[in-house]
Amino acid sequence: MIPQAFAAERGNRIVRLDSGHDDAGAPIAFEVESAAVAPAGVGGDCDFDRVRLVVTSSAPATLSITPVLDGEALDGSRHTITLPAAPREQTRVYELVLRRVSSSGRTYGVRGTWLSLRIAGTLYGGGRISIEPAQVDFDVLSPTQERP
Amino acid sequence: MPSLILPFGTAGLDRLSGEMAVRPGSLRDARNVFVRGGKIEVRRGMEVTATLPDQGGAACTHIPLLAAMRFEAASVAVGYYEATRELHLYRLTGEGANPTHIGLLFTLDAQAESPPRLHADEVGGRLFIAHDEPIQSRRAATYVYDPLGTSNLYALEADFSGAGQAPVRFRGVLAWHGYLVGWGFASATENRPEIVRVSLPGQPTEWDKDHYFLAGTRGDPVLSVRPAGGHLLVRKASETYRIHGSSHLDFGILPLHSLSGTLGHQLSIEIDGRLYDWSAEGPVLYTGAAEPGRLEEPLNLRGEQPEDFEGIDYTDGYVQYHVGLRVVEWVFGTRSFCLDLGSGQWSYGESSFSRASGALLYSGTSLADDLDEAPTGFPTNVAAAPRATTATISWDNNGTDGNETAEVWLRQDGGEWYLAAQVAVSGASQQATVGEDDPLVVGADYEAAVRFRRGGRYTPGYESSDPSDWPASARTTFTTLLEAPTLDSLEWSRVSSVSERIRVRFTPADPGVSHDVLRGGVAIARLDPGVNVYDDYDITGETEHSYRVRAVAGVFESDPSNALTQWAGPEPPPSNATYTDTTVPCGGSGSNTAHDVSWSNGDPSLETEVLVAGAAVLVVAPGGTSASVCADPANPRISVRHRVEAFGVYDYTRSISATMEPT
Repeated sequence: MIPQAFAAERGNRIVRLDSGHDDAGAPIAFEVESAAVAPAGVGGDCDFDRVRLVVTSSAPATLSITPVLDGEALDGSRHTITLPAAPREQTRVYELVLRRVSSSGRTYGVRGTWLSLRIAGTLYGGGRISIEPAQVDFDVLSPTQERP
Repeated sequence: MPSLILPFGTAGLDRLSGEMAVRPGSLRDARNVFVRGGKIEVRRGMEVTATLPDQGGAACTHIPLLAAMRFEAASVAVGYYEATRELHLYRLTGEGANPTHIGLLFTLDAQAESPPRLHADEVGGRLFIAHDEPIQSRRAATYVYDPLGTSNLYALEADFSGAGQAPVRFRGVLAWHGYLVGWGFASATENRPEIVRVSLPGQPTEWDKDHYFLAGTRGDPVLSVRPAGGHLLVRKASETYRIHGSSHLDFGILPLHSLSGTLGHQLSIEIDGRLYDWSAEGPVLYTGAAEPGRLEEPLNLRGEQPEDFEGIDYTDGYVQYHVGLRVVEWVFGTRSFCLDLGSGQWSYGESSFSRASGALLYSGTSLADDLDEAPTGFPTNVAAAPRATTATISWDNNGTDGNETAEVWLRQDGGEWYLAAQVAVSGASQQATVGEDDPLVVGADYEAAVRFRRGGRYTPGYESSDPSDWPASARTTFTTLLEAPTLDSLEWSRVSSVSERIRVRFTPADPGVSHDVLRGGVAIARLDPGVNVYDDYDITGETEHSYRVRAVAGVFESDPSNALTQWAGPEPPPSNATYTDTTVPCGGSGSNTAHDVSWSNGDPSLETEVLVAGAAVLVVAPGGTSASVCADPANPRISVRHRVEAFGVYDYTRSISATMEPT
């Protein structure tokens, strides 16, 4: 006998869990946010240049990757990735350059102490999506000063 | 340019540790993903497998119970209909599909918590369903669903008070070591919510009133009983006890945790001897022996909650196990907390689908299939004798062994088939009544079908859940109709000095419909289903009244019943009244003569009034049968009647004209 997880609604429907790509017709939205890192130390200053993200997927989906610098989500630096439907899982590496654009249109680096990533997306079809560790490239502009 | 790895999914959700202390690979938020193996995996979806139908025009608003019937590789669901407060039991496949209405489970007490909470467990192919209502007087009985029995659904009864069998009202039940364990109920006359009772071994419907445990303080209710570490953990709101032993010979109970309890039975689950529960402090792990393991720290439940997780009522949820993923998920409506047992990592769940209950269901070959051979018998001469809201379906048994169960299916006006009745196969021919629990619609066309099963197996050719696929000889059609009731009796009585009545009694042909009472051919009252007595106060005394009754259902009316008449006064009247003219002149002027009158008493306990030309001239004491009156010999017009006094008022029988006695 094969056990499977089922659930019943605060309504009149019964559903099979862990099946299909939506919740009874409603798309599944997912989101993760990593813990922050401070490569230059808690008193230092970094220029975060780019992120490489490894995504394995067969499901069509849209991912948005937002850098969070010192607790502030940099919506202007958000990248959007469209994952195509595929008959079998494919692994891709996405290199996302981190830049900020001023109100005058000038582009400059993402500079600060703590960086984390917020990844959100929505599934549009059947298949799987897994996200592997990200690699962050950075320059230390001023490291934490050690007291003598 | 230097780089560093920002790992995901190696340390899981961590909202408690500060930035300096958090482990690499931790996540501050993780929604609709599972965190495992150094990766983040997006969870899969939820596919609708069944929709519970309306009942009596009311929509199902909540499904408080979903449970597996492993014995038959089937499942059951209980739908709650808030508009009527009814709970209906459905049988589904092991894949949660094709709901078949079994019947009304119970109607929720008007003061009971709504929606209700139910717990169930299976023992020996029977499912025991308990109503987890804190107030005993509002709690429904514990019901037994026995799909293989001749009576599918019945209340569990036991003699816990020494006063005879009475319905049992457990708050929860658990199958354990061949016993059925029930808690929260001492007896109908004693409220002892700290009691845990145990059935006789292997006999879940047999109970000894002295086989029980007392868990701690009197009146402090037991909320849950679950196994852990080879023992039974008895959980209260803030205490835990441990029942040890494996039979009534060595059972015992000891305190285990004095400060740790549970928020509810539905929030705990035992997996491989370990009990995962949601306590007042958050999720905990019990092994039955050691201190409870704290699981809640990464969630930081005492800190600021993540967006959309504010205000969760942690008592209003349940726990679900994803067996293939090894994930334990505590569900609170549209929000959930997911613990990956493989990695020990947490994540959150969100959905637009608000979940009320869940279960692992089992599909494939049933245990019943392993035990039983498919029957070879089949029904013929299937026929129906319809009434208004019920019908008797009859058939002949061909090639049966007598250990089969006959299923009677129905559908109305070509709609969906449903299982309407089950009876044990017996004899060469038999019948079953449908519509008693779930009344049929009056004036509707129905199709009925019959098949046999043994355990979970059916006669070849009858396996389909669509009876239209069965041989045509298994089916018949009928139209429900209204049969006339029988008017049984009328009875007059005076009820006050100004009021008298005629009581009308009748026998309905179908008790499930309304009835009109007709006086003199005119409807004077409509009676609700189940009412078969009517008191008519709007009557004229000393008058004969004629009554009939007819059945009514919507726009349909039956033929009128037989007619009965009733005199609005005492009965019976005198009889055999005669007179003789003595020719002796009597009083006053004119030619009147004395007449001797005699009669037979209808009721010798009553006085008799003698009338001449319609006017009462004398009253004879009870028992008297003769008198002498003065009357016109050419036209004496003598009559007699009884009278009775009540409430200071006289009522009279019909008057009987006296005839001249032959000479």
